[in-house]
Amino acid sequence: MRESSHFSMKQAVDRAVQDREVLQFVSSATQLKYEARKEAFAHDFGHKRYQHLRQLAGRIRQDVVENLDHVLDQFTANAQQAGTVVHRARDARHANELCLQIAKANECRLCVKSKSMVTEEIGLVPDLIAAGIETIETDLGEFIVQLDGDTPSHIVTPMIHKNRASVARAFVRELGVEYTEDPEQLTAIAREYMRGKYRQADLGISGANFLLADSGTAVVCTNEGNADLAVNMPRIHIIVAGMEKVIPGHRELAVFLKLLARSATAQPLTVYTTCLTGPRRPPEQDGPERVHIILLDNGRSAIQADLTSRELLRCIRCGACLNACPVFRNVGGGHAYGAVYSGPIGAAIMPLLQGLETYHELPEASSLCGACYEVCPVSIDLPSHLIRHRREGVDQHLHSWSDRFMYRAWAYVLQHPTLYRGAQSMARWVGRALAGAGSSGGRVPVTQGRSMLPGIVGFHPESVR
Amino acid sequence: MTGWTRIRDLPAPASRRFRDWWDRTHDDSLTEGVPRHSDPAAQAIGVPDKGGTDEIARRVSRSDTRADITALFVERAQAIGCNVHRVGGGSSITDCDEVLQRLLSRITCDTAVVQLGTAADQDMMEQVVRQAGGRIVDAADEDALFAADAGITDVVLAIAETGSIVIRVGDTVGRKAWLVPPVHIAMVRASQVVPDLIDAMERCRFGSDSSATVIITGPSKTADIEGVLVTGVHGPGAVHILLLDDPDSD
Repeated sequence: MRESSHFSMKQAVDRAVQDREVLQFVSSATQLKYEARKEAFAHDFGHKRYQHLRQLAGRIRQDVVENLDHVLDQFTANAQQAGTVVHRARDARHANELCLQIAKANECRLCVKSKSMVTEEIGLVPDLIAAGIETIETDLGEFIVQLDGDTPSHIVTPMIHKNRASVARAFVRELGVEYTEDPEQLTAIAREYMRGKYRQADLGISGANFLLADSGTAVVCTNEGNADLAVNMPRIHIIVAGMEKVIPGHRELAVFLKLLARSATAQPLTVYTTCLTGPRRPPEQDGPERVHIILLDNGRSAIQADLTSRELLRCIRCGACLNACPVFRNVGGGHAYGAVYSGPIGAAIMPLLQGLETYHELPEASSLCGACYEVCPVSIDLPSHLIRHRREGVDQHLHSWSDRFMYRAWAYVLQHPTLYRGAQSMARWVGRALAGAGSSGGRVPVTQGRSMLPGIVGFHPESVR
Repeated sequence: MTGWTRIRDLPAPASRRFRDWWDRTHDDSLTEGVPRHSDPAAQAIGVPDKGGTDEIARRVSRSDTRADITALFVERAQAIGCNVHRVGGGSSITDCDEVLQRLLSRITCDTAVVQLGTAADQDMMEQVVRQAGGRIVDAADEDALFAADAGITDVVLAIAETGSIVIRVGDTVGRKAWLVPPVHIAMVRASQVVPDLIDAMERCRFGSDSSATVIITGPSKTADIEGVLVTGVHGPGAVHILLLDDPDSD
């Protein structure tokens, strides 16, 4: 048995729940998003057609995942024909090396980067900065997170854990502007600052939401327009995408676009849906001279090789399961998960990407209520994957001795009626003591505002007879 | 039967048969005919055959099937924050001269980038802008582009279902005129409006004669700071759609 050496979710949660304000905000923001998403689908499709659409989407993605090599080859061939340079990266280090090589070969100094979870996964930005390439996150949320030296706490809204005062402080500290808490003014400041950077930048990096096999097109969805500037202003553009992002073609794209923005933010479409097919072509006035696409493996082919786990590669990273998850809502967002991908999808996929030993606590951070499955636009059965990880965690003895002892003891008590009855009366006694009239001990710390009521603590088989 | 707790009661008999419920909620016919790409036959022909998918997707996803798609487009575009100026009874730019003049003076447009598909449109539009007291700047001049007050472009398609406009980058319409200035004015002809996203995808033909296609759905926006909606982050904060609506043109 070994304790998780790198990360303890328990500690992270303990830290996260300290800040009641953030907790409150994350909880209400995710709740709002969840409601808005539900309303959007109900209004635009109705329940039945929505169910059909997500079944269809899940099936298309599953077919892709099952034939990943084949579809990827097709994508690669078509992208190359359009003039894109396609690379495949085995792991994070390889992908970062490729990026640095491209940057060095083109003598790039300043990089503007659009939001992308996969670049978070491979830790690209620190590597670029270490290599002397100034790198600016251009998504407003990511930019603020970068100013604060923080990490994103949600895959769609990365600074869900920050309030406007902390943004204002970061701007004063890092950009030397006057203190203002008005979101419009803060946005205007960021806009001006980043326009200067865009005009000087010679390298743009973005992710991709979808890769179309039939035309070699990369599709990037943003609301701010930052990816478009990152594509259109610099000379060189690099797209880093997980290899599972590929879909057969433009018709399927319509299906996924219909689901993606509604699931993520309840919009009918993201404001800018940019479909890029290679670098600029001669009659065109502007655009990048070279476009590179890096297809990242980083553990994905191992997931694909596993017949049960491969379903997880369907994920289109909409973040709906995060907003729906009661655990995510109540631990102050993604930081408690200590992983790049948080929430139910993170809990299911992180143990596969980075090892169950490090992340065996994540699958336990779920009530298995099934809300994540219900909202998933590609109908991934997340709870069953979480249960499977839990089982494997138990099989591999990843839990602390105290946990294992507790569960063993509990199982033993449950199997022995006399012991069970004894334990019950004891529990009732303890409960009564805790609920003791008016004493502060009557309040249970985790459920503030509620207290135990004498008499209904525990289950009373005696009273039935 | 009625024991110590109601929970232990047997469930009430179902109001309808399970089969009925299943038939109502699981319409298998809708996913029938979607070829499984894992089929050896599909692999053998090399490219996964997608025939049928679009038809199914169309059936399951068309959200609004009303006939007047132009009205639907106007409604949806306004809902996502675009300003739609509908000009009836004309299909050329001179017909909407008046509306444009008003619009340009309202946004105090001193300099504008104009990129329209045909030379005739381009000339007419430049004239209109000059009449309104504006100066035309070239998108290739980066300083002027970043200082410009408005970008005027046309579109290849408009999508009624989402209120989106589709721009295809080419030799006339570039990648910056609709993105960099704070106001984007898009010329849409009623004949360019398609009902659904899927129809637009069918016509886009990615990569066939253009290296970039952009679907724009409203003004650039963010809700990153405390969930407060702010427009005009990186792209334009206002999108004006000039809808030329000529019932006789097609």
